Amino acid sequence: MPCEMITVQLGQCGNQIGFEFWKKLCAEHGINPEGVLEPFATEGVGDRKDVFFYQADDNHYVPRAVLLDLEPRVIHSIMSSNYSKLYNPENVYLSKHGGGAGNNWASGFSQGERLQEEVFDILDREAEGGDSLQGFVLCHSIAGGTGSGMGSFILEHLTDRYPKKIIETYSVFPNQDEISDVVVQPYNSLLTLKRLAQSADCVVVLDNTALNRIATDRLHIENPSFAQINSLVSTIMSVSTATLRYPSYMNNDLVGLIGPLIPSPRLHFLMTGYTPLTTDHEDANIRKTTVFDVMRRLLQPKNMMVSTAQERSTIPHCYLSILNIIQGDVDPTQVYKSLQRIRERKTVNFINWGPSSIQVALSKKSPYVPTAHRVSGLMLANHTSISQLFQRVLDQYDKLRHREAFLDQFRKQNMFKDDLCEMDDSRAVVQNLVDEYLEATKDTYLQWQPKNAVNN
Amino acid sequence: MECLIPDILFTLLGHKSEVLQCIVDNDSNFTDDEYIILNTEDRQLLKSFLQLAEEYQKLNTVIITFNRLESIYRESESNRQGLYFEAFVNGMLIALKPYRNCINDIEKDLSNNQENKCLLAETLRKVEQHKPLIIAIINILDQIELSQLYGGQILNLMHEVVSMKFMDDKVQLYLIFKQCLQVLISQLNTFFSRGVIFDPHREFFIESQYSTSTKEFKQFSLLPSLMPSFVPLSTASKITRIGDVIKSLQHSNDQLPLINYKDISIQLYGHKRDELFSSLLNLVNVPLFTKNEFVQVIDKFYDVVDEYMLKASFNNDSFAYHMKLVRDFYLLGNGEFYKHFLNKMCSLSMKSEHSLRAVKVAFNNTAQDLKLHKSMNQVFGFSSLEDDEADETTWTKIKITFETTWPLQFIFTSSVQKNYSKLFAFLSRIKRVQTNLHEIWIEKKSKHFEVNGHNDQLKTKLSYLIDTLYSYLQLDVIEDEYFLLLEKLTNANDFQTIKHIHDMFQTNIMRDSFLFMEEVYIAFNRILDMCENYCRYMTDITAALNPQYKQCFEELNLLFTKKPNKLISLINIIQEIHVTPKPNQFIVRLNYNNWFLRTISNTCKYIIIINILHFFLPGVIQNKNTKRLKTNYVNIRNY
Repeated sequence: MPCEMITVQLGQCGNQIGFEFWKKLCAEHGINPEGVLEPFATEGVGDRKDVFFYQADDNHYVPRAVLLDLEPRVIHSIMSSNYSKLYNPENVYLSKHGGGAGNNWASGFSQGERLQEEVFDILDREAEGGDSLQGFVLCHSIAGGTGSGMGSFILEHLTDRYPKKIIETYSVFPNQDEISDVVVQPYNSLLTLKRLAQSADCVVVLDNTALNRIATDRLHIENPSFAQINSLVSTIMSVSTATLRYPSYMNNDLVGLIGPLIPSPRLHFLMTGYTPLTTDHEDANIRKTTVFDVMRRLLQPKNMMVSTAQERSTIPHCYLSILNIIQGDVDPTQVYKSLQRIRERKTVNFINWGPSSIQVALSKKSPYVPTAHRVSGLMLANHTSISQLFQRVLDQYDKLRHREAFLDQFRKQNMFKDDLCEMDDSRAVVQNLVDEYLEATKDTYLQWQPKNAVNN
Repeated sequence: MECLIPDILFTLLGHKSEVLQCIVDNDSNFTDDEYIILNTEDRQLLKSFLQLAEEYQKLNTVIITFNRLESIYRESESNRQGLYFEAFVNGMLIALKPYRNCINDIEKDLSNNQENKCLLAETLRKVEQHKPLIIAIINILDQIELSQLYGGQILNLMHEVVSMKFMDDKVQLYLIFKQCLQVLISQLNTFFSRGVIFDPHREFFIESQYSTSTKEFKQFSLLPSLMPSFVPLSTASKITRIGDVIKSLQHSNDQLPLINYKDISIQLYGHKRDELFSSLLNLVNVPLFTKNEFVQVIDKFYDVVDEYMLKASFNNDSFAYHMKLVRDFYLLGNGEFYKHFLNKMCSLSMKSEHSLRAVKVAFNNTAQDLKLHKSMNQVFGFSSLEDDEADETTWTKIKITFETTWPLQFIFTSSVQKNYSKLFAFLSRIKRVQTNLHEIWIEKKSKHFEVNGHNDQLKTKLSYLIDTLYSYLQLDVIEDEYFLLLEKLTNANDFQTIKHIHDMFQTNIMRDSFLFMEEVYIAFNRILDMCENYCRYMTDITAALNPQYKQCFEELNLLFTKKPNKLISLINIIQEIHVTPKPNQFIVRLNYNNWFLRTISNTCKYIIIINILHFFLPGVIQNKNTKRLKTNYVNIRNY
């Protein structure tokens, strides 16, 4: 009776990172690309494969994954890879006309509306298959059409349908360092952000800007490919679920993991950090990584997978909460000592209006995937500077909206046929989110009330 | 005069001769053809003979009476019965053999060589050589009678006698001691091979306890009054421990609850058995027996037993497996299991009663749900700490027992299991409250938009408190100590060390989990009760109608204010703990961003400052002048 999670991967980006995630999970649990347990893994190592997989009648493992897309390219490539037999084919849904959403949020949203019956048939069937479903994990990008638009639709309706289940998203934010070929990206992002703010319980922000910078600056890859970036993403996804898949004395369920990270319900956008990064392993033979090293490095902005400019900001940004998931050969007696040293250095700013600290979860590691490092760590942090990302979306949106650029594509859809108040509404929601994050940096946060509070 | 010699010899062998007595007494009534007038000198000689004969007679009477069957059963003279006294008497017989031989030799000389003149004086000289021995034995005998010594006490007395330096008759007395020692050795011999005490007269310094439960392995106890001085207490405890091990081993081999006397010495001592037992039996033949020889032999036995237990403990990772059971089930290491198990249980408040049967059913069902091995159902049992027979109990009084394989019952004893049960009760209550608070997070998440709802913030703070407490207990206390335990175990090479390491582990986690501090333990449980009420009200839509609803919230909100409340007093007590550094880690975790103490305990500092000001500046401060007071306080702080 595990606490099952259903993964919903949407659109090109969502399916790509989802694919990488499943590859990683298979490797970590010793499951081969066809879902069959490898001979070396039949003993089990106290891992819970059934959080993310279920066993078919013939005992092979099937991911609790739903693959959705409006155009066939990525799903076809998955289904023609050697992992094609892994997935339940009934859970792979491709829009029949296959024309995609044309990178348009509104198109994705309305197609989601049109296809909802078929899609929710799959989701409901999958949800009924579990004994004690914990929640849904949504993988998507906020900038395109399917992941953002259809993703938004599904998010809204999942919350309505499953109000007592946790909805967590791994949301990819677009790379700001390169000029996107999706011109309406700011519209798409804003409209998706509203749903992430209102309908998701927890959003793990995967910022392509930061991921690319890490790949080029830290991993020394000149032109990082999607696959290389996605491997970083899959690492984050797999480690952040490690305590669920390798249950131990704490953090065995999703709510126990994310609940403490979200002290105030709408401030539920988490940034991540990971160390050591794979090419750091030149260091592996000269350095003995300790818990303290890992915890210290996780607090360095350069290891954060969200591009915020904390150091340049005049606002005293601060942490609402931190959870470090530490894996490997850890001496538990070092955990408290590290916490204490970090506290003594006073380099970490926390909120002043409530209790907050660095929570540490020690997690087991898969014995089947060798790593170069003795200790590694993932940080999930709730930090007010993430609002800079949303502010960026607002700024870009305002620029575009001011020029009334590319609005025709949206006006074609029912939702925007009469007016653009959905956009205005979304802007207000995101603005409130930014405001709330900024308020959270102040001592007076608990007295704050949002302007023209938006009701759902 | 010489014609009296046969009579004299006869008397000296312990038989009464009235003739001689009459002669000595110069009894005129006694006349004979061969009436002999003795001169004073001869009379003196004869007197000496008779004196010696009299002394010997005393001993001889004891020997003769003791050997008569009926006297053995004479209950009245309890010190004059038993194996040790019997051995003493036998020893006496042996020790006095040279004396009897001497007389026989004289007699032989006399009959072989009638011509040879035998001088009375010479004869006296010969026999009186044995007089000190006889006197010494008589003294010992007197002492036994006077102090009513028996059993091990007789052995002890003999040991003291032979240990005294400068004793002429040491060699002969040593023979008596050997006889007595032989009894002890025989008793140890049966004890070490079968765990049986052969002690019909209750003389052995170990007695068996007849416990009603066959699972109770403390079977033997010491009787210090019967312990010879050459058996140090530590050695004596080793002997009883070996006995306990033998009994437990017999029991574990044979699951029948019948009393079992099987010889398990081959199993227990292996190829060293013969060597061990011969060294034990050989103790009697040691030329100069001392404490050291005895201790050495017992140590040899003990080491072999310990080694066997050590091997058995590590056989199939037995100890590691048991520790894992402890970590996973008593200490909630299997978090997933307990998430489901506790979900099946109702309120774990301090007051509500639980049916033990229901607890067991919930446990087994969870094990089944999580596909744990079926044997898990048999491993753990539930009862009440207060009453083994009770059908229900409150959660804080729950007792969990678990089955151990031999020899680990010596580590995971009944009291150890009781202690673990207390830890379990505390941890599971916290975990239950923690899970409930998380449930509320899910319940309320769909009502996101009541921004900064007061209840929301209360829930956040309560969750933080409980999460921090649980993290502290699981990570800082249990995981730390568990890590240290495993580290220390790698260096442990005897069973007692393992036991010691384990006991330290348990003591440390109990201490750092506040279980030894009634005040803190109760306070935490009260706060947990309050949290339980909170969770109940939050999930019950009719709760607002309940008059206690408001009170519950007021009480909880009070916890995070500067007004005196349970949490402040609790934290103050914890901060005062100096015997161990750990509890301070809880405070540091709680106050990591300095919010906690600032929020709740400013007032305390404030009051202290007021008190200090009162003390130094009594005239300045008046009750009404609070404004000034605060200014002073601020000034002091700024300063």
